[in-house]
Amino acid sequence: MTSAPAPAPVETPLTAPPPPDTRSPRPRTRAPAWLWIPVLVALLPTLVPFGFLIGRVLGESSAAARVVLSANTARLVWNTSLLIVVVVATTAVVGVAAAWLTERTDLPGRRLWRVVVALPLVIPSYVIALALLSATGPRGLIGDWFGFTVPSLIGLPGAWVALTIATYPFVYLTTATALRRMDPAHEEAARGLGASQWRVFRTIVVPQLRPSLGAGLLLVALYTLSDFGAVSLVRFDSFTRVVYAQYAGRLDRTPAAVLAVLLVLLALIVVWAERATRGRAAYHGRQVSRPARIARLGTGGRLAALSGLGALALVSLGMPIATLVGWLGRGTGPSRPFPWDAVGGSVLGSLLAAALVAVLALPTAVLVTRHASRATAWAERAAYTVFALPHITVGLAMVFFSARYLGGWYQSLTLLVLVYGSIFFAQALGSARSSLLQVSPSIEDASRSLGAGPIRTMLRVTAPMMRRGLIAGALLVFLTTMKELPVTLLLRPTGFDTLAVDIWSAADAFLYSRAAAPALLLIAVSAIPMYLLATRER
Amino acid sequence: MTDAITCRRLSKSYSGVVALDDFSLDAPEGQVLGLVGPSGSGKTTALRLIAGFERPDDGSVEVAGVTVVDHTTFVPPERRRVGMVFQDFALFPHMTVGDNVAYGLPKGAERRRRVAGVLEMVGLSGMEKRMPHELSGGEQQRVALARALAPSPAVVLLDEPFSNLDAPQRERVRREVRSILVEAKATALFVTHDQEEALAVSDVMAVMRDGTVLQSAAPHDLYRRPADRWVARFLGEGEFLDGTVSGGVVDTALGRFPVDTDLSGPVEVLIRPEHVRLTEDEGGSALVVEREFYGHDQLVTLHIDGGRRLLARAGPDVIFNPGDHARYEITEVVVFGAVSSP
Repeated sequence: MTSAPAPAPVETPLTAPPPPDTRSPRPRTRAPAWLWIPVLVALLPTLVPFGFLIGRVLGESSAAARVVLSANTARLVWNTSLLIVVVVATTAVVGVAAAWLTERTDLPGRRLWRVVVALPLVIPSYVIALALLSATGPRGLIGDWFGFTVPSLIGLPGAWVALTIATYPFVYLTTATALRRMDPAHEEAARGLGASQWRVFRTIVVPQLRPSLGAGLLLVALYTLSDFGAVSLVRFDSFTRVVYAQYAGRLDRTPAAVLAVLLVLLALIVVWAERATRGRAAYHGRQVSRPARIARLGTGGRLAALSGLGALALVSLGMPIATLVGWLGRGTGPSRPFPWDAVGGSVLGSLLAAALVAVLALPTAVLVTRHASRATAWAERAAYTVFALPHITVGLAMVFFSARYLGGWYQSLTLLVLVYGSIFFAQALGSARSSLLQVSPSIEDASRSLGAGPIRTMLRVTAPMMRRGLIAGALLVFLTTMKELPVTLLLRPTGFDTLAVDIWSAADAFLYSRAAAPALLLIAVSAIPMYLLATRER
Repeated sequence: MTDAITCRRLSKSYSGVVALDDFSLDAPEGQVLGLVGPSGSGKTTALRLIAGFERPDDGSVEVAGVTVVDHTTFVPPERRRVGMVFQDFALFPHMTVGDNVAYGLPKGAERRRRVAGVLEMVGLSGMEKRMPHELSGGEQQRVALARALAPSPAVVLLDEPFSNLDAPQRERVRREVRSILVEAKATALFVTHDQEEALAVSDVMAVMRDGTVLQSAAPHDLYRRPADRWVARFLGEGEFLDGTVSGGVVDTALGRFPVDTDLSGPVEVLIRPEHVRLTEDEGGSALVVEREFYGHDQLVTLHIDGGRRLLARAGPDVIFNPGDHARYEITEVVVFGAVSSP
């Protein structure tokens, strides 16, 4: 339950006893049963197959135990953990440094840098990997253009660089927000007690950043763990790549199922590890009225900062885009017309997913805000859990489940869109929920007392007032569906092509010139909703 | 006179916290009933149960003679013929004034005429095309009232209808709303924590405390004959003392006063400040210790008889300052049984 609006001030008669304020929080009424249908439609397409997958693995426990205890699995765990550690460490340094420079220093062009540093978010990891691979090595574009050869970024180095570029914006964004909201009084107090600027940063700023830095790094670790596109292209044997290879290349599918479940266990361990390292201090956000103190960098410092951020932008934005553009003109592979069918597939799938999620998010937002209860809290938690599940596991679970129970639905567009809607549901629910929270519940009560039933009220009053939140959520789902790779690979109907699949298949076969145009198009299309979301927020 | 609303023994609690307990109330048709009580007394819960936004744990509600809720029936809010004006007005922000008012009306030719008629009644003729945010607080209030009245409900509920308005316009809007309700011959039930507002607007008023109605009567009767000490204190200032009634006269430490009561024996006596007449007199027995000046009058705290406190209301012309002496005369007292006071 959320807190009630502050009770109106009571004008107490001079001699009256002060009335005891026992006003309870605004009561919630129980939801009608039909209001649960949309949230079930959203979550069951993921949860049921996932439960089936776990049941299958438990049912074959001896075979499963063999897979778990094999030397190969130990190597996989080691590889994946190593990748997570190096990516988390690098993104922590890069993200925090970039956030501090753009939020707390007199760096020239800070406003522009804030956008530039966050921009790699629109480039999917497999496009970054594609660019890295095609720029480096003996046949790479860097060798062509500059006359020297950079060692090919295959294996761990490739996965490390690609995922660092793809994920440091998470750390940057959470940290920058925290820096902006931090109460400058703490830092001023420390300075007043004689601490140097560096000591203030180390002992005051960093500990207060801990919660948001932790959240950002948790995102990085989960992303790295479940990323399929980049690791498969650079041929680094982390979990997702091997799960897919086991599924695609072997008749016995038990190992793939077991590894897919193990992957989820690893994700749980990552979440638990982040919780376990949280400190005990509580940091209370306060309304900050004053801007924080801005550090002076000095001429040398500015130069260093500018070249550091410049290098970051060059590697994370300039390199991928320049490489892709460079490949546009070259035709090494067999020439092929522009893949319009893939564009059509991407747009169709993403539009359907966005529309489905918007339709489901509206009643679900009403359910979880207007009828909040323990059950709705669990439903919300389930939506976020589904969002965090590695897509390769979700896709594989659905492959097994539909092959067994859904027969004709397997590899149908309907099923694919249902799964898209399910895994990205939480994104739209989040924004729908927060926009509904700004609408006074009495507006819906007013509609009811004027003779409108619950459904007419939802369509004529609630939906128009949530319009912004619903559109923002749908845009976000459109954007993420466009970039989605593993679920699409596993569940797409025969002949149904998307940009993501097209790029990945071409890059996997080293046909870089063929991948370049769709990759650039995907970046451009992804940038549009991003731009709309960014401008809406102001 | 028939009742537009009859609540019988309603009770409701939220996760163990009792909001309503054995709540019974009748709202006579065509009258304005004020439900008043401190915050937390359950007024808004009562309103929400009558409107149908929540179900009672026990008890029943009838609207215009039809049972809308009891332990076997539940009529949803959209079919109760109960209009509601919300504290925050709850106008649909994405609709024009006209569409807001038309929302509860059936489609058809009559609709537009009814909208115009109701808007004229609330003094907003020709405002159909405006958006709610373009109106002042008082105008929004009247649109909310027009919207609730448009479908001719059996009763209109108003939840703290004036608390969102600035003090200067509050009294004016209060008068306007009252006259609109009277003109529409509507039965209205309104909830407020402000006893002055309830006294001013109600035909009948009910005082609530801890989820139940303590007393309900016309404002004048309620003020003059509170059922107990708590109601007396809630409705206005005053000082209490003990007394004994016999033969239409109450005997107190401050003298003997005629009273109109059926009680006899020991009672509690309330002296309202407006029943203490104060006169300038350097030799008077009352010492002024405090004074609050309100413009139209002043509230003076006196010490009499070596420390006993007494409140007096005096006109604005003669200022009583702390340290002054004055003469006082008690013109009237209120008595009630000394049992149920906390």
